[in-house]
Amino acid sequence: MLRELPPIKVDALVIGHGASGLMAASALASQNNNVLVVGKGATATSMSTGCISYIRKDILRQERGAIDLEALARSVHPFNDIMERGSLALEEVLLQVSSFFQRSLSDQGLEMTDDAFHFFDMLTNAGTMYSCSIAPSFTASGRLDRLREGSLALLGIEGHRDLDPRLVAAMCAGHVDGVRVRPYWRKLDCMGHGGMTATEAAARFKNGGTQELIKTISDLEEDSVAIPPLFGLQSVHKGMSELCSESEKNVFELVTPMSLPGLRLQDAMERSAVGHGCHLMKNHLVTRLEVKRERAVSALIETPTRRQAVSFNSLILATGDLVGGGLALAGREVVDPFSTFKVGWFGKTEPLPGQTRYDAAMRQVVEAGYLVTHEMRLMTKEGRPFENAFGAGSTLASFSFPTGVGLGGELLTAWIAAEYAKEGS
Amino acid sequence: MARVEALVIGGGATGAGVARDLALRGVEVLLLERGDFCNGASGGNHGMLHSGARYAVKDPGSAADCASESRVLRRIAPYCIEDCGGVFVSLPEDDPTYPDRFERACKSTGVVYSPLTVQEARGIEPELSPEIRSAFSVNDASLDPFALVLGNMESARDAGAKVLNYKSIQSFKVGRGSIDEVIFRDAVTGEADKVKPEVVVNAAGAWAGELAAMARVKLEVQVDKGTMVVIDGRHTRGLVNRLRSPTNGDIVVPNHSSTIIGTTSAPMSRPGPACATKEDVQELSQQATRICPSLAKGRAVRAYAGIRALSPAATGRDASRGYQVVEHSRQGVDNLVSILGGKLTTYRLMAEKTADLACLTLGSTRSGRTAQAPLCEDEGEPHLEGSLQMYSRRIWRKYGPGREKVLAACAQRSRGTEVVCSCEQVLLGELEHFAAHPDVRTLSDLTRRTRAGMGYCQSGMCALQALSSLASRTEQDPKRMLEEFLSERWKGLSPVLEGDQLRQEVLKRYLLTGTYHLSIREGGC
Repeated sequence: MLRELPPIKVDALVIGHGASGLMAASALASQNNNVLVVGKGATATSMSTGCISYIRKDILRQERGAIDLEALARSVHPFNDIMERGSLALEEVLLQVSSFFQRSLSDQGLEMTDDAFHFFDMLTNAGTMYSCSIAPSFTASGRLDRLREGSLALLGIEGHRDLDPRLVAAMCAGHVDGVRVRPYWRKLDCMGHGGMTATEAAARFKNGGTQELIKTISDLEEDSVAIPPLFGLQSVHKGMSELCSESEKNVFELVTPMSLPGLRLQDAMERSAVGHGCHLMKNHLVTRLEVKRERAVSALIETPTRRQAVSFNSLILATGDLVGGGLALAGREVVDPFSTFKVGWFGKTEPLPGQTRYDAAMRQVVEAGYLVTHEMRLMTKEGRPFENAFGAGSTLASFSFPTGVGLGGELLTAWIAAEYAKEGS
Repeated sequence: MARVEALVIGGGATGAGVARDLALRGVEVLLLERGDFCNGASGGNHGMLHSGARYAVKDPGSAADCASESRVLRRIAPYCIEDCGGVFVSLPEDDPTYPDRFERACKSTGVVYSPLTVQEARGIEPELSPEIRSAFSVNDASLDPFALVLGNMESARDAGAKVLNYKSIQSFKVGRGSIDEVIFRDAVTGEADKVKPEVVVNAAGAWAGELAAMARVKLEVQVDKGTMVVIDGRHTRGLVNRLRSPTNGDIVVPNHSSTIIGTTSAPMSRPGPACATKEDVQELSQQATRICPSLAKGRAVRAYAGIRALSPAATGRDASRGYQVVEHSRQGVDNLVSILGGKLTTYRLMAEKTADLACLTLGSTRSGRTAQAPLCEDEGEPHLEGSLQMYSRRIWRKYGPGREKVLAACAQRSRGTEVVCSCEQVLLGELEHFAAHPDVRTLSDLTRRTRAGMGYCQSGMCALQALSSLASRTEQDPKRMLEEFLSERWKGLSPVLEGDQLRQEVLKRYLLTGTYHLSIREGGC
């Protein structure tokens, strides 16, 4: 039996508590809006590498040098079009987004780092390491710089599947000039027997537990040692600095998807949103949306035991893409689970040269999503823009990771959506 | 230059059978396969040990051969046979006179059967459609073709044969009425080599005609494509056949952790890569769910196609599933023997007849022993340390004569008993053992041997583990190896993907292609 809770009213309802939902919510809440964020499960952000692809150091350090706007515009399709027709200036928005984001995260113990070295780019192609703009500051440039010449130990830990040193070494072979990469597998008593998830592994190192690891690292021949991500948000700074100082080596993490870096980013963003005053309801499902002409007016949110109606001035849909369950599939067609908004994709419907019809269908699945105006306004089925409903992040058409943009784009669209949504609040 | 008594070309069931047969007769044998073993029909069938019933009405010769050979195989290769039995059932729309003809034909061909009431049939197979009319039980069984062929290779090697894969024939040197020299090349390194055989056995299956042409001999081969769909989970206890003249989608075979629906039959103009199409999949599913409605709810894991060489007298369904052993002396080459057609079930018999003819050419009178000599004895349950005990039966089923080596690899290697493919319960020791094997060049070769990646997720994280095991050994670019492998898996996935399964596939691709910056070919055939 579902318990009905009394209806509530908020300025803005954000559906989805991944990167774009939390960003939009934080941005709205920081301007004194009453914001409710509803999310149903694990987010794609928590499964990501925690890396930001487009809000990069060249933008962040704009005071130190010029931004290559043209290159940026190319990389952030379809934003160039959005920006051209919208009233916001691209460089201004990017600066606002990145500084807001940076500020929010550093409050939670994560810092943007400056580690996009040539060496890193190579390893990015090679395997489980990503070029990252966001990571705890111990991976700071000084340590990695020395790696460009010399040797690197890849330390895999038995039972911890995030880093397979042999595979990364094989992927690196012939790609990384001047660096000898050597794989090691080591067994740690504290890990026990058998495989474990990254989160379980992190629990082992929550309160110390690093002595054995320090010993293992010290015993390696190489001066630089890459390890799988082992620490959660709360212990990562302490843990990594201990490893570095006590082993007297350059120790750093190889960042992998479905692992701790994504969880740390998720954790930090949630804390930041709550810190800005958002009300965050996890494990809640939006079961109905009520719409009057071009206005979204209320939603029904549920848990297995409770139900509550929420009315709002503006709505931000940040439900993620098909994989995250933000969209539904009927056969091979992508559809809107709310049956309210217009879904489409920016790709060509005809197969590209050399592609079969099926390839085109697959591409459609990857690229399909909600269609929006340049102000991120969602559209009615008939194609009329909504007054107060906005879309953000990878739920938008042409936005999925392999073909679209990454976390940077999530933040950017979320910021724009929040900018226009607050006008309705 | 190397000399060899018999050169066998083709690493399918027949070639493997011939190599083993000859080796057991004491003949010095070299087998060359241009891809990996089970490249053609032997890797693209539904894994069925025929009781003969399917061919009893239309092709009594094949039926009788199947009936006797299935008994032999149960004796010599029990490890790769799951003796689950089978039923034939008819539906209201099927020819009502067929059951009587079926019964008479089974009697006259020696196929063992017994009539069932509808109730009895549904007692044996609870998932059968309530609409079924007549039913018979037969001695069909499920057969793992990879395990059978690789077991034959293993046994042939044990008997002294030299068996090589990834060796493609470049040319024959034909002088005064015989093949004097055969030039072949390593398909990966390109390295050329040659051999002087006394007799050449052409067991190239669908490619037998092309091979014969290289020796300037005309050999007509009828090439036929058959498609199968793999459904996750076991939906039937044994095999279920439609009681009608053989047509599309009338066989359901339980196999390992899945159920295979077979098969279509479509003549091809020449041998080449065969792909399942979405239309094939629809046709098969539609037909099979008429007999066994629960299949409609199952997840289609993969579709695949094999090409078989049929006897050239007729095409498609009308062609006999019988076999022909051909010697070519009348066409001017007297040391070439070709083997065509037949069934997986009759591979041993075909191999024996072929080996007889090859021995005749060699002037040897030694007779075959394969009907008696088991490929692998069932030695019961070994006593093993720890969790390995639990996997020993599965390992025996997969590897037969190779079991001891695999068990040793699992026991000795660090993390050897860690499960790396959870769909098919494959251990790291199995992967590592085969990754170190000289026959294994690609990830698909590993899959073929261990079943890692064959399960319902069609290679998620196990692909990376397999790559890790293999990459450290080969000179190949690991990224390309992964791309090739995923493209191959994709070929089987693309005709079956829909709905949530498609969503899951997209996620898998995010993880694999995103992490390793891969590009997967999406073309299929």
